[in-house]
Amino acid sequence: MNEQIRASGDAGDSGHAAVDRPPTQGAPSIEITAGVGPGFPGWWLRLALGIVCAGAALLSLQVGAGAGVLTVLGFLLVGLAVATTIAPHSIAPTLLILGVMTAHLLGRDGGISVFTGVLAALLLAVHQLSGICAAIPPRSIVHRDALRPALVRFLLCAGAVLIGVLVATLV
Amino acid sequence: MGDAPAAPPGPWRRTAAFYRILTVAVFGTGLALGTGRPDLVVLAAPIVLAGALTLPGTFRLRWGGAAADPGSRAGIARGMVAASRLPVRIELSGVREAELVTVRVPESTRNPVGEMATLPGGTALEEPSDDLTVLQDVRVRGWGSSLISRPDLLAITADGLLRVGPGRAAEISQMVLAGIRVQDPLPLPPIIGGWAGSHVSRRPGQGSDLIDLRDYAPGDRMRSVHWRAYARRGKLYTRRTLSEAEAEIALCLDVRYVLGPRDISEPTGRLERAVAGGHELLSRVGDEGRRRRLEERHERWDALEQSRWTSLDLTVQAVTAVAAAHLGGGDRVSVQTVDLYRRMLRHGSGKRQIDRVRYFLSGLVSRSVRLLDVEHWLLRPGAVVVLFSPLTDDAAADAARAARARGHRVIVIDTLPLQGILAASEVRDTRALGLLSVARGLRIERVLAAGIPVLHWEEGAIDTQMAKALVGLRARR
Repeated sequence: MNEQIRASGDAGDSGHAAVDRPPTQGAPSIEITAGVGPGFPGWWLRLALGIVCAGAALLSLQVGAGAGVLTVLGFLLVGLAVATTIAPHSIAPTLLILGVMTAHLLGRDGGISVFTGVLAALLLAVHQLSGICAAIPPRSIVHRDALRPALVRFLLCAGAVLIGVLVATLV
Repeated sequence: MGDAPAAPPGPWRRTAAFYRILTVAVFGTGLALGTGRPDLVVLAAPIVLAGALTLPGTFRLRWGGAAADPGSRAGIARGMVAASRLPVRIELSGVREAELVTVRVPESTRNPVGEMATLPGGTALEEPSDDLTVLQDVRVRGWGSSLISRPDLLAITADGLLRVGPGRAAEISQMVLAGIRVQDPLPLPPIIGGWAGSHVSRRPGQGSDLIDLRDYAPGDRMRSVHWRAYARRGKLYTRRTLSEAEAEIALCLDVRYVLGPRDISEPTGRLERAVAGGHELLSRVGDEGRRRRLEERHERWDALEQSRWTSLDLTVQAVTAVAAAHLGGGDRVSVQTVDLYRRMLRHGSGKRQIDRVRYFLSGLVSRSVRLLDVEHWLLRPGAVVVLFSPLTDDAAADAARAARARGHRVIVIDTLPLQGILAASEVRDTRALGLLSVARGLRIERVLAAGIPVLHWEEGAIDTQMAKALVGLRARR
């Protein structure tokens, strides 16, 4: 979407001096040239959210609870996954995360495994993606740099937990 | 244009994601403690960890109260001209604490609030900043007062814990000047003695600057015969010289009625909309696909715009083209609407006059009132009258004939988009259109019979039409 980002200290550059604007109190103004450029449509994020939700629901059902999709719990989780994808700003993502944790509680014996770490990472992805998708309309063009902080946070948190799980598993 | 007032996006508000962190932390820890299952703590841990990273900033922003609320506004750097691309500058303020900012950016004057862009907010930049400036090239379609931009804003903090907007930003409108089509000056009807005036024009006529020689024709003045060429060749040649005169062109606009094609709408059925939307979504894949989609959309809008041209649009196009051509040739041009609400731009010449003409046209509106009698048009003696009219009633044709009877050279330019109207017509229109065509045909015949050339702007090649009309008029005489 955006071809360049550049910092500029004064408002009178780039031939746009005629626009009046208040002083920026010393803070640099960041100019972004919007147009066709590196970026992707917002519905890609919605698609990613759907995949992550489905992954978390199916993983907790099949591996965690040992239940099939055609059970009450299966219908519930798949329904919540669909609701999360459609309405990420609603309470559905919270219910999905709590539902997955409940399914996990029902099915397994309490041991910590790599599967637990992967499911935890998926739940974090559900949390972050639903938070972001709530503010990004599907028709919007998303600048790639805009998602970098969220990606860094995901890698930090999920990585820390996965490493912890690995250490716990090995020990 | 929207009539709703601007509504600021408001202060930062907590979202479902904010409460989700707290809920997951309490639920996961409580369940783990209650059941003695440490794996539940592991499931909740990444979300709680992410919350530990994002919540302090959220609390500071929500309850610290230091930061200004985000806002947006748009500005245009310079004047806008139809069928051009010009930058719109959208300024976002108070976004230092935002991580993602979604703003509506204008794509064209037809779609000023249609395209959305999600950009990195202040915290996502290497150098955190309060202000963001988004530059966007906007394609300008149409003319007159146009809505250019309405930069609605939606911003979130990290992981969407706090949110601002979407608000309804202030709309900015701009007077868009009509574009100029390249057009050669009209070959004006001949007049004995050339066009009177005081400065050298670029038009062939009575003067001293030689252009070339042509064969002598009966009626040429003897003083314009090139006697040396006659002595060498034994045949009479006439000098063609640049006119030292200036033609005064009075552009008279009959804009009492606006006639145009039926509106060809976009797909309205649910199935059609779904198919069109699906096709658009698929074509968005990849930057190249998106660029192609944008181009296709612009081509579609261009075609749609063209199919909607009314007689008022054709009038504006024709007047700008004819005025620019004649002003470029050194002529003096005036413009006036010839209805009861007469507006007039006085005679003038040069480049500034074409700008005056375009400003004049940008405020052009149609009023269904009576046509002014020709004696009140305040035409200067000898002025060439170019009447722009859709010729849908007898008043315009009678006025053209009256101007001719008063000794003016008159040209009528027909501005009815007949082909467009026919292309978009429905069966129920057949009878009315048939009557309109017959009545107009008879009217045009009457005008032609009075020695007035009638040119059809919609058909294009206006200079060729003029040349043909002049030949036809000579044949009639």
